[in-house]
Amino acid sequence: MIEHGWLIFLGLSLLAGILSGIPVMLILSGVPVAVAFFASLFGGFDLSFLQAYPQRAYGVMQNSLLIAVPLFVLMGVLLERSRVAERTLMQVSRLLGGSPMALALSVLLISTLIAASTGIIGATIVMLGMISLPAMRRVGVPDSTASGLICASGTLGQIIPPSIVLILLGDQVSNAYLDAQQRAGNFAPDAVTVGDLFAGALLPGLVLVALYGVFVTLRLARTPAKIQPDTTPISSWDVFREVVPPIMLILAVLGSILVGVATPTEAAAIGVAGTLLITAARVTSASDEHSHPAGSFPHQPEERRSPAWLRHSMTGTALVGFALVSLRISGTGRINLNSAEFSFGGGSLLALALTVLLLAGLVLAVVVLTRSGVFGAALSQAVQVSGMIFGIILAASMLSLVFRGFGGDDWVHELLTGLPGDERTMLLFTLLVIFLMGFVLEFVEIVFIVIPLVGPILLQHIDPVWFAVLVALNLQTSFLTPPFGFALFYYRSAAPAEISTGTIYRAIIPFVLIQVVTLGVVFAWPPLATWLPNLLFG
Amino acid sequence: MNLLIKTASHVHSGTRRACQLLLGMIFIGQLTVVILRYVFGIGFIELQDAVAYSFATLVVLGLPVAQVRDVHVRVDVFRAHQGIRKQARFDQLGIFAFLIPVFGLTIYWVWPDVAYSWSIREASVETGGLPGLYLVKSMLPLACALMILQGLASFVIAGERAKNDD
Repeated sequence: MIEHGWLIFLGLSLLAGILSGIPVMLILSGVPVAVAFFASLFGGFDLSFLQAYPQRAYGVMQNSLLIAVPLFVLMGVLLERSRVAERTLMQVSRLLGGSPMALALSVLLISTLIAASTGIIGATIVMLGMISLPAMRRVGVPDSTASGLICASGTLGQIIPPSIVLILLGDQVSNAYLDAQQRAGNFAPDAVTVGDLFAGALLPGLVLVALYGVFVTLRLARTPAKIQPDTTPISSWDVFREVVPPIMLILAVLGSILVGVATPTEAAAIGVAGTLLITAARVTSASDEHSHPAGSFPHQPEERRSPAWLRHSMTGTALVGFALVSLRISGTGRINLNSAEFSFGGGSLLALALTVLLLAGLVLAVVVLTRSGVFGAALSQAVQVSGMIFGIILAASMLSLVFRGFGGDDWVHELLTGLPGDERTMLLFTLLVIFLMGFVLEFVEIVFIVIPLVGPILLQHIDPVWFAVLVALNLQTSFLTPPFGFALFYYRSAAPAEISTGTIYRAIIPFVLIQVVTLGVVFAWPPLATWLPNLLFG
Repeated sequence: MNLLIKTASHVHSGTRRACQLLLGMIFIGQLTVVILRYVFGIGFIELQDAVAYSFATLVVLGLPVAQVRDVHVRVDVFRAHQGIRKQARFDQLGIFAFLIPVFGLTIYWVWPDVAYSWSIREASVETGGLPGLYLVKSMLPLACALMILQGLASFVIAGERAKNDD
């Protein structure tokens, strides 16, 4: 143990630094450098190791997979600002009737949709807390059930694809898997893609949603409504036009990845385009804050302030987009400019015309959104969020460099292979470590620190998709577990003071149990994670 | 001191605008690539490279923007209970002990790479790709310098915050 004294010192310094409240990014990069320099005074570290850092930074900058990250962030920010989620929530709960159970179930349903589309847990939880909590309390959902539901369903964004966690995990797991297979002597392994992980996480994610739903139903089945349900008739057309666009958007993004047509980055670009259309159709209501003070829950659907022609042209543009896709699928609309026998068939002309229409619609959306200030603000916020994510990734690569410099990877190797039992013990141990790390670190740090260390050892025998799904579920559980779960902190910041922290901690327990059950099921029965990717990608 | 803060704030609004523009370009470029590829069957390597370059630049230039807006993740289990003065002192410690050394050293480590890249006018590794990769590589030391500038400005501002709290 004593030869790893520097590693233990590094670990303790990191823990102290993180708890000091200094930005995690500075701690993860600064503390290892300081410890490395200190250790080098005693001959404990070779400083030339650190010169490899720029190459690692360039590796992050030139990683084409990560291009999807800022685009998905932008999509999430736009959806949040356009308040699509709020409107959808409102309409769905009206449709389901005003009972506490109906409202709670619609919150679950909508959070699943938002989770799928944004995947930023902090933002989702704060937003759900602000828009759905007052409504749920008013209707008579007990504080505890409401709090637990918001925290739990707010973290669904990590597991339900397309999720940023899964993209980052995909990057790290596929590198680790290649490394592992080469160590095991397999020099031509099948690559693991982000698409595999998306497909793998889909069923476990839906199982979680279903179990949450069962719990909420059982819990609230007999809870009477505190206020008379809103009986104003609601046309199914209203619900249709609020709910269908986001669903189509998610289907388009997820579908194009799962069918194997588009890369995550390409799908993310399509997602942003679709989001721009949805947002532009609601533009004016998105820009004025006073119509919706934080915490209120508008009773009546807000007036639609976007002019009708704008909404219709956005719908039209979306339809044009889908028409282009179906042309492409039917194979008639392909214009092959490269081939010599270039012909203006009917299909090609149609595709060309549709493309022009699509671009015109998108340009209109961008112009409208830019003039109302929504686009610029969303870009700005997305830049900040991506800056935060990449700061952590760059800092984590500094930490792992120093960790290797101290011989930490050998130590992890010894530790894992020294465990009694087979690779399942190693896996359980890894999951436990990740779970504990989830208390002090965000997922990006953990993914970029732990996977490169344990992956090359574990993935020699373990299915990479199964492993990644377990890690994602595990991280999500960790964020929910009191007293340090990140999700609970985010919720605390959005919840009114009369909901005590103790209530929140108690409220989350049933949901944590559901998580643990799901984790156990996936652990015991890997096909739940691996069946769909195998079916889709072979 | 005042000059430092003013300069830093001007530089910040420039960086922020550049990042907004870059993100917009990534979106437009990537969408164009998608349309060209799936509707017209054309691969456009130069454009894909332009997207990749914009992304590489955004990765590092986003750091100083996030620094100024104070959105880098913190764990505030204890911080939430600290007074303004103590928080400001911890901020100063983070900048002095970690931010400036790490980013300063990164400039020092990356310098030979960048100099070499300039000397051969390094271009994209893709065949038929864009020239000018050496400019993209120069963004890393530039971003480090911007981080240090913003760090110094935050250091001074945090110092004033701590003083006013006395």
